[in-house]
Amino acid sequence: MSLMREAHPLTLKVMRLSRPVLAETQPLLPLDSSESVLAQPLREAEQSRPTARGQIFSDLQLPDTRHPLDTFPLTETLVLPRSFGTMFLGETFLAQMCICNESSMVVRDVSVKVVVLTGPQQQQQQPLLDTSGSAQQLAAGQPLNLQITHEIKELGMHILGCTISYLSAQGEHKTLQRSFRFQAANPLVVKTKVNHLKRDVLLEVQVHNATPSPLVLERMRFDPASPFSVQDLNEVDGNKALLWGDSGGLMQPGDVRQYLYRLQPPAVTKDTTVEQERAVQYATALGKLDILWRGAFGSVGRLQTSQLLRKSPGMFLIEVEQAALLDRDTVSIEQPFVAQARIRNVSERKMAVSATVHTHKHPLMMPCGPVRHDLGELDVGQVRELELEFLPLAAGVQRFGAMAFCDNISGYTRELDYLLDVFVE
Amino acid sequence: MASLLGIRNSATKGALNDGSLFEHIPLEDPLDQLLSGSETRPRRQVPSDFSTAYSYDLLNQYISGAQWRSLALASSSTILKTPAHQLSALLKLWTYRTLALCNLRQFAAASRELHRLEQAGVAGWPFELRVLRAQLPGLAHHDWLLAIEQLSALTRACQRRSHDPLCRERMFRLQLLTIGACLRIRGGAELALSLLNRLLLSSADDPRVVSGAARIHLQLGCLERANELFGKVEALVQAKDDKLLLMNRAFCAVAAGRWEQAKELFASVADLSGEQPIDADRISAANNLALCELYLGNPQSMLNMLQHLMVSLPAAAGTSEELVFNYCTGLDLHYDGAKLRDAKAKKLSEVAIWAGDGFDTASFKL
Repeated sequence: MSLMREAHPLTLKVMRLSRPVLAETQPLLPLDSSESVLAQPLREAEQSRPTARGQIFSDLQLPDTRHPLDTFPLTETLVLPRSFGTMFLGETFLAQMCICNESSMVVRDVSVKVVVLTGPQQQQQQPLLDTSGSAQQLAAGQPLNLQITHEIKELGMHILGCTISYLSAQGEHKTLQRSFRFQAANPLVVKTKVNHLKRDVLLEVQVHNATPSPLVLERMRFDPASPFSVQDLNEVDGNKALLWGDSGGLMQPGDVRQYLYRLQPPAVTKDTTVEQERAVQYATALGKLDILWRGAFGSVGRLQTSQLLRKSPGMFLIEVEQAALLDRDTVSIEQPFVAQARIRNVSERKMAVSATVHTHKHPLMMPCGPVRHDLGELDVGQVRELELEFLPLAAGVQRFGAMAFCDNISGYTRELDYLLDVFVE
Repeated sequence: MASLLGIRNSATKGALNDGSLFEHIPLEDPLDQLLSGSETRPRRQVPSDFSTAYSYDLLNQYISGAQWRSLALASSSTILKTPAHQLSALLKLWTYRTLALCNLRQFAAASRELHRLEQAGVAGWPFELRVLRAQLPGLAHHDWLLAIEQLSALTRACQRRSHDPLCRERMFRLQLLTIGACLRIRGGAELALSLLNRLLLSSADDPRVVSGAARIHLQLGCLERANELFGKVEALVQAKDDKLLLMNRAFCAVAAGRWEQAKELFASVADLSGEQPIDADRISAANNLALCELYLGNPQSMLNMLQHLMVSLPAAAGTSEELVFNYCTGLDLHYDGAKLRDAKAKKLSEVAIWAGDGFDTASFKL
């Protein structure tokens, strides 16, 4: 038994409506004004092809010779897309559907249902259009025009399934089904790297233009997760444009851009509780990147990453919350100075804390005074200040303050590699 | 039709009027080939007499009528009849010949002919011929980097004589051609914008140049910079209903997807319902208005408007490759099967009556 395709009086066409662009000129011969024998006939020939010219028309009477625009690369004529092109994640699929009654009879009760099938084996179905509540009739030769839009949120194969139900001239209920396939590709490859700077997080983001065309990243915004706030480090004097120069943020195909964000938790104050600090130190979610880009003639795409995560630094049971120079901003060689640190008990029980300075770790910064300091008993959340005196023996950037904190009740010990970096004059 | 290949004269070998310099060019017109046998185009007389020289007046008529095939043959015939010592005349004729080949899209043939011409070692090429030569690597072989290099060399030569107004004018044209070549290269957009910004430094007071720069930014998706430039144009032009401003605003609306607003603005430039007959300047606006109808969900309106435009101005609009392409795209959406073929065949016949040689038949999307 052979299968014959059922004949239908209706035809269905679908056209993707990506943005039109200005037609390019092909200015073969610049109209050299004074020495050319060709100038006059070429001008007449150009007059007969006004839509292919590079002229920019105005009502102003400006002399043409100063800035002759006959070789301008773009015309003023918009042309429709030459092909379906590539569909990218984050873009909006906009299409014009045209259903036409090609027969010589009236077709009644025409209703249209359009779905998009995505996912593995295209099992996920999303309805885009359903006109079954307002069925129409089409006279002979009459078209029915519909537009559909769909935000592309998944990669891979998409199937646009169109079902047209109608009542034929013979009174039969018939169904015309057509499907159209297209792939959705990834336009941007985003990589991140998390760096810790004490309590802050420095987030490096690398964005790669994976499309075959230039695009402009109009928005690169990081939306931080609680409890972080974000400082955008990608501006020069508050001006993003200066960072990218004349190109205005244009990314060529294959280009890579790097961005840097500083995520800051709330500052520690005397009112900060252990629970609040624990929430910061154990927080894994950093936030999301919100990216908006523009392609040819302003076509827009938008992507938001999933929650970016970090490996939480956790907390030591004995935290060094703040460390700073005491009563001074500068340090001079062979002049003693005092550094102060705030030590907090962030465990769940009382501690008896002592601090032991490691004298051998930073030989160019000699600790003065006792090596061991007894901070006494600290209740849960209690803070004690520790002052240490050092003598710098060399100039330059010096690291100092390696020490060990010990809870003499439980035996818990925390090693600190260094307290501060300081510039010694 | 006999070709010119094979006309050799040992006395002229190595000279600019040597017949071996010429390439064979196909004498069949692609548009003619698409027409069915019963259809005719207005008689386009192609020279068959290769023993005579043609006057500049006649050659210029071929240009005005877009009779590029005739121009190619007539210019080569005249070259053969021009004495070898008349270098200036010969180079001018070669300019006609090359122009004709380029308009017939015979870029590779033009490139080979000019390469042979260069071997003759004659200096003093007309500026137009040097510009054509510079662009041919891109047009013939898609080697736009070489084209840019050659255009830049011409620009530098003009720059050395920038006190001469003609050289300044040539430099401006060359810079625009270079920008166009950059836009054709994958990854060349940034260079194009850099050159454009440099151009703007010397022409920031010309609203047309600034508008042009803004439109290139729009084409590439740089909306922020485009809007900045459009703002400068608004400040430069006093009359707020100048068609330059209206078109700029319309393009902005297209880029933002505001099709109703774009439609109104293009309509005010096209002035289709006005008393003035639509002129060449407004054809682009009328085309763009029609496209807005498609994006607003009215493809039949687009088809009707484009057809009306092409029938009203059959020479200027009816032979526009851009309008024909847009129209045929609309036909592809509306029709199917035999009806689509018939509609395109009808359009083909209409275009063939008025179109010159070298019409890009890909516009019909057959």
